[in-house]
This record gives sequence, structure tokens and C-alpha cells, in this order.
Amino acid sequence: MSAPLIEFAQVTKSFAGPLTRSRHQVFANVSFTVHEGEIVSLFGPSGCGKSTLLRMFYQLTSWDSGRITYQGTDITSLPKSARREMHRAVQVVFQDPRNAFNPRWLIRRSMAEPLKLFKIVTTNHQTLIGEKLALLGLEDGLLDRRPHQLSGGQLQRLALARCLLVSPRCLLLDEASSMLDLSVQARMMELVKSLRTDEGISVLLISHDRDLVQAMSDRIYSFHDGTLSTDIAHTSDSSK
Amino acid sequence: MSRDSALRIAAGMLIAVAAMSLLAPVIAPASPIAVDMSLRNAPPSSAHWLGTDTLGRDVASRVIYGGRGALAISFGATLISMVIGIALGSLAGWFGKFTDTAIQVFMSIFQGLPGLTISIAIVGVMGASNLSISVAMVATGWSGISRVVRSQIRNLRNEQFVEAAKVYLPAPGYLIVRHLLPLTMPTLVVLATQRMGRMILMIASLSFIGVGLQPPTPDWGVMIQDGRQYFAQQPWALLGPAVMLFIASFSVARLGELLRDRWDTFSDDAMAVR
Ligand SMILES: Nc1ncnc2c1ncn2[C@@H]1O[C@H](COP(=O)(O)OP(=O)(O)OP(=O)(O)O)[C@@H](O)[C@H]1O
Ligand SMILES: [Mg+2]
Repeated sequence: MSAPLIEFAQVTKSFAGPLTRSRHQVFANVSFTVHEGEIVSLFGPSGCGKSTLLRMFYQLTSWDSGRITYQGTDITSLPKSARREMHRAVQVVFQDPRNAFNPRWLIRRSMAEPLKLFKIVTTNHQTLIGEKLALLGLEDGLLDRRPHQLSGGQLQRLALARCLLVSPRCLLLDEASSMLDLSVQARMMELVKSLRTDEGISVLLISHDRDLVQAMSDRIYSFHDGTLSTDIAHTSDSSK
Repeated sequence: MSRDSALRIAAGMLIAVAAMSLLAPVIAPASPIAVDMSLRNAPPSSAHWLGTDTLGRDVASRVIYGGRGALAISFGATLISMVIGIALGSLAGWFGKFTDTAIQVFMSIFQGLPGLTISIAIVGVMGASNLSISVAMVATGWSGISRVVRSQIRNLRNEQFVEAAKVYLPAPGYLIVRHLLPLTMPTLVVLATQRMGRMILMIASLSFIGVGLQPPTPDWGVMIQDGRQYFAQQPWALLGPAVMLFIASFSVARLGELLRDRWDTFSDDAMAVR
């Protein structure tokens, strides 16, 4: 079997406490893998460190020990160009949609940003953006607004649409549908599933919604007492 | 008075002062430095709107010319202070750690300097000239700006949209210039205008105590000093430049505050990020 797309191995994380010498540990020895074409979920109570795991993957926060690998290579030793390619291939929807876009920019500019920065070559960026918006049931008119003029659910869908623009191999979704009503959420999840079947995209799903997680996932990892374990019950009944 | 009309008045005053200074050679009725000993201390008349001073020079013309030096120097020095303050403040706020500590130490050396005293020292050492006055203004001006920029960048750098952009391009230059600094724009405008207002007054103070712009240059600070001794006989020689000085420094600083307020209403709840 080839190396997993993403692997966390025995990762431990603590934050500096309020006093200079004290540290408080968020989790210890967390391990999980995401293979090509898999939908994997992280499940756990608020504050257990799920969002922190995502931030680590982009080295937005440090960790105490353990290894994080991408296609078998330690992410800290990736050469610059490979790291850029990884950032394009693994797209993330961060948890707070209200804060996902620059508050002063038009959505149009925020949407075009990854296309520009990753030098995506298409005949027409605007057409591409329009296509992705349509996939998520969003009007083109939203592009000429600023973030504060949109609802949380619209922003969440825009955030996912923005990920799809750069043809990712993997999506990291942190509560990406938390503000959607059930029918819109169902539509988003259908889209995610079809991306997996049609394009082989992998997904790491973080959600509080147990039903959603169980309906979507090939594998579920749950946090208990500061560490992560596979949800045995689920793995057995939905093994591929 | 509504905010808009206040804004218009402040802007109008500033434009008037700037236009007057720029167009001085065209609108001044006489030369600001031509001495006429036969016409000393003349009261206001149709030929000399504000009378003449002790050397028989036309006070109105001197008032019209009198802002040119101070306005040009304070404008240039404000720009340079902003560039230095924004650059160092951004670096300190973004990188933190050693960079921050080093810049903070450097900053606090300058911050601790007493403004006018150090300006006198700089001008004293370098000799009075436009250059030395500019250097003094920048030396006492940049650190306050850099302190504010640093704290704003620090607050913004961990916002989620910045982290998202960091995933796209982890280049500090791009993130600071495109994402963060535009968000601090309202604050920067206020900082710049307040700084410039203060510089106008400080340059006048230097001229007043005789170390800034030198006579016979027509300068409001110089004129206030000259007019002081003869205030009882010819109050116009002092009041003219004093009023102009007040209008110039006040309208600049006020304009900045009004612009900031207007900016805030524009974006109302948009600026959930301060
Ligand atoms: N910058 C930080 N400094 C100190 N502690 C932090 C910091 N960021 C997060 N934490 C702590 O780390 C823990 C994990 O936070 P995280 O946001 O990853 O939780 P989460 O599992 O995503 O929770 P939720 O389900 O509510 O989103 C929390 O206890 C939080 O207080
Ligand atoms: Mg979270």
C-alpha cells in the first residue's frame, strides 16, 4: 500500500500557559491517516484540539513532538516548491466563516486570490468562479458584496467554493456546514461525496454532528481524554 | 453641525491654506521681503491690508508666504516618518520575538526623547536649514507611528483570513501590504494628520525661539517672534501669522479625525475587525 496522503504520527501539542513556565497540554500521541479517496472524520468535544490539528498541517502553529507527513514526507522537510504544491493540493475551510475573508475586500477579489497566487491557468477566472458557485447553489451577485453583507451559511459555501477553484486533491473541512440548514447541508455533502467518487478527492471532515459524520465517513476518529482513537464500531460496519 | 459639513469645513480650510501657500507669488500684493524704511509700522490700509512691520515690509504678503516653509517641511517629514514608522512597526508586529524586541528597544530610545528639546539639539548641531529641521521632525515623529502600527499588525496577524491567505502565499510582504495595512488605513490617516499638525506647530516653535527658519524668511513662527515686541503698536503683525498657524495645524489634524469617523460609518458593522 502506498504512503497515506496525510499522516499524523504520535503528535503531542501543548500551549504556553498564562504563567511563563507552565504549559497546558491539549492532546498527546495523536495519530491518524487520510488515504487517497477516503473520507475520514475527526469527532470530539469542543476544545479537544480538532481545529488546532488543521492549523498544524499548514504549520500555523507548532507541536511538541511527533511527525506530520504528506505523501510519506515529513512536512517540515519539504522543499519550498513541494510545500507550495501541497498547499494547493490540500485546501482547507477554517471553522469561522465570518472571519474567512478579508473584511474590506469584495468577495470577488477574495475568490480570485488563490487563482492568482497559485497561478492557475484557465481561459477565464470569472467563468470558473461562477461554475463553482453554481455547484453550491450560490448566485454570482454575491461576488460584489463584502463579507459583512452575507450570511454565515453563504460565507461557508463561498469558502468551500474557493477551495474547489484550485482543483485540490484533498479537502480539510472544519465544521464547514455548521451554519447550513439541512437541505443545503445535504446538497453540500452530496457534492463532497461526488467529488470523492468522480475525482478521487480525499476529505478530512470535522463535525459535531454525529449523524452527519456517520453517514459520510469511511473512518471516524474520536477524541477521548486528550488522545485520538479509531471508532471501532463504525469502522467494522462500513468497511469498504 | 453634521459630520459631513464639519468635514467640508476642515477640508476647505486646509485647501485654502495650501492654495494660498502654493499661489503666494501670484496672490501676494507685494514682495514679502522688500524693506521700505519710509513706511514703517503703518496701520492697515488698502495698499497694505495688514499694515507694515518695523522694517516697512508688507505684513499681508508675509502672512501669505509665511506657511510655505513649514507646510512643505512638515508634509515631507510626515511622509518620511510614516514610511519609517509603518515599515518598522509592521516588521515588529508581524515577526515578534527578536525582531520585535530589537525594534522596540530602538523605538523606545526615540520615544523617550523630549520632542522640542531634541529638535533644538539636532538643528543646533546641523545648523538651521530645511534639511536639519526635516531631520529633527522625522527623528521625533516616526516612533509614535511605528508603535501604533505594531500593535495593529499584532492584533490582526492571527485573524483567520490572514491564516487562510498564508496558506496561499506565506510571504510576509504580500500579507502585510495587501491584507493588513489597508485595514489599518483609518488609523494611519489620523496618525499622519495629527503628526503633521504637530510638526507645523513645532517648526513654528523652532522659528520662534530663533533656531528654525531664519529671518528674513517670511515664516509664521519668525513673524510671531518679530511681532511680539511691538504687539501694542501693531497687533496685526502678530495676529495675522498666529491665526494662520492655528488654522493650518488645526485643520490638518481635525481633517484626519473626521475622515476616520466617516470611514467607520461607511463600513459600519463591516469592521468587526476593529
Ligand atoms: N493560541 C492559543 N493559545 C492557548 N491555547 C489555545 C490557543 N488556541 C487554542 N487553544 C486551546 O487549545 C484547545 C483546542 O482548541 P481548538 O480550537 O483546536 O478546539 P476544537 O476541538 O476545534 O474545538 P471546537 O469544536 O469548539 O471548535 C482549546 O482548549 C483552546 O483553549
Ligand atoms: Mg474548532
